[in-house]
Amino acid sequence: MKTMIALGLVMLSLLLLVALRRTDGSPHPVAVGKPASAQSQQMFKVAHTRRAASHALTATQQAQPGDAILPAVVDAELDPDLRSQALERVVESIPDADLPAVLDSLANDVIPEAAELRQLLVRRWAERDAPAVAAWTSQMPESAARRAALEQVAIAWANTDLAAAAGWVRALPEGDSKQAATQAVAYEAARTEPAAALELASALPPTRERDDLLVHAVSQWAAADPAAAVAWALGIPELPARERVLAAAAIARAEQDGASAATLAAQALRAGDEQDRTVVAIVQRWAQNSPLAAASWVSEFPDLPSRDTAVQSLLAVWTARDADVANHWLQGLSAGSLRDVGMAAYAEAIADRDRVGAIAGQNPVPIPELMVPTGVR
Amino acid sequence: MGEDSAAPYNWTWNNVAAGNYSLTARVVYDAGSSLDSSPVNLAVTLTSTNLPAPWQTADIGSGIAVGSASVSNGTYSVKGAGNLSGMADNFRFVYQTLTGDGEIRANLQSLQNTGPNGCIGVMMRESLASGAKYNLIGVSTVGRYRLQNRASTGANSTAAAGGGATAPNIWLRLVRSGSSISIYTSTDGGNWAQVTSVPVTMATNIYLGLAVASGTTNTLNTAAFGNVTVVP
Repeated sequence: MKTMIALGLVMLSLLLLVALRRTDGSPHPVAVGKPASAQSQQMFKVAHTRRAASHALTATQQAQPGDAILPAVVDAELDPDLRSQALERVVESIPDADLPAVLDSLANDVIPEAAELRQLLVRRWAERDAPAVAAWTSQMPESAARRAALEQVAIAWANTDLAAAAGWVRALPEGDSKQAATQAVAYEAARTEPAAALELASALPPTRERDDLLVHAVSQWAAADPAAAVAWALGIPELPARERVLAAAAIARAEQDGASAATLAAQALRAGDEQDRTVVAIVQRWAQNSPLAAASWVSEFPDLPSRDTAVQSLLAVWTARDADVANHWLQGLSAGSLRDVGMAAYAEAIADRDRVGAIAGQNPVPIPELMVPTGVR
Repeated sequence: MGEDSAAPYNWTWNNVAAGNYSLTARVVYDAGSSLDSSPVNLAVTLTSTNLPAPWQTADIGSGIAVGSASVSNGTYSVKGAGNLSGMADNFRFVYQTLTGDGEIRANLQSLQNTGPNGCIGVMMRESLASGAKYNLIGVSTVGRYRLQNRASTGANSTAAAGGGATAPNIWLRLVRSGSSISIYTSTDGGNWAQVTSVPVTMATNIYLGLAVASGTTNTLNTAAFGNVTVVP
């Protein structure tokens, strides 16, 4: 009986969403001053729709207690934030024991709200019993719905039992869904076990998405164990991916060991955009701890645009922290492009500091209006 | 588009404009009979940009009009479509990496009104995946402050609305320190008011940058950011 009630609530919610969408798919108007005629009609239309939904709610509440979600569902149709909140309430209203039946009932529903609701329900179920929902997904045909469901299971399971989640994705039949689930487990693993994340990622085909994952995982590993991360990255067969990942490793270690990061960037990366980005990122980080050492490195760069950017980044950080020492270093440079660019960056940093200093405290900012979780945009 | 009558039957497509395309190959045989392949969808993005290192830019997510970003005299012009809501995002991101603690601040100098669902601001994001955790302080494209986040990968994002915001007097700032992110706004870039501070569990190395979502999949919103400062 409870299952029937839950199913009834879900289906009624979805029907209302569909009906409202067909009636009025426009966003919630924000009334400013006296509304124009067209706006008045629009607002009336919305109000009429809400009244109809309220009547439906009343009938639902009489027959099926325990749910006050439908007014929110009405609002949700008018604003994506509220729609998400309303769907969350629908999810919360369904007893755990009814999740499989509700999911089955939504299996062939193609409206977007049903798809989003399916994902939320799968996620909730997976957070309570990931093996069970993993087994349930095995009956789903390969589709966007299966892919989305597997991703939600993967995320939830990886955060409760990473080893089991990794074993599950490895055993999945080949296809898009398996790749999406593998990627999802790997991203969650990267936070605390980047080596495990990379092992999973290695099974993925070489795509931009896989490379983004490799970069992400190696970045985390390099912050904790740079030697191991770099050694692993050097084994990537595809050159563009290898360079992206090595660049990420160099940047991740720059804060703790700028010199090693600099050496890695110089030796492992070819001249070009990737190396330029990496060099500047290293300088940004190195300058926070050892600006003189970073400055010494920058001064050895060839006279290229990337050197100018590196000098500007160096001086922005250095001047904010110790303008006198930064200026002293600049004064010691020989005349030329490096000195000119450095002086200009120094002057800009001083001007910005002075600008902020001149207005600070003179224009007190009131405490911002409280940010409230509404659909008002 | 083109054809080739000799093996190995290839053809090169040059000077392709950025955008989304659907390609079909057709074989013509036996003097007039033909057979079409299944369509292949692909997105062409511009990889060249004049953004200074270490900035990069990309459309996060899929299925939106291709965005872009450029810089001129310190002003970053960012064009983006898409939405920052629900369980996965699609939007234009101009980003660089953040290691551990750090901050980003920027002055949102102008934006377009592309309807009520757009959102523009500064963001800290755990990864470039569309369902990644993130925190954002920004404004809606109709001019109200927006505080948004996704606390768990693949979960719904949550949002809160604040008071009215009028460009160019919109200054936005995110500061990560330890396991929290502090969020500030200002009208002049010198006097900052803390909106809130939230506990965050993201990886050590994440991304920060400028986010532009027009609120629709096929319309670009052009936003201009100045005084962009990053401490990575």
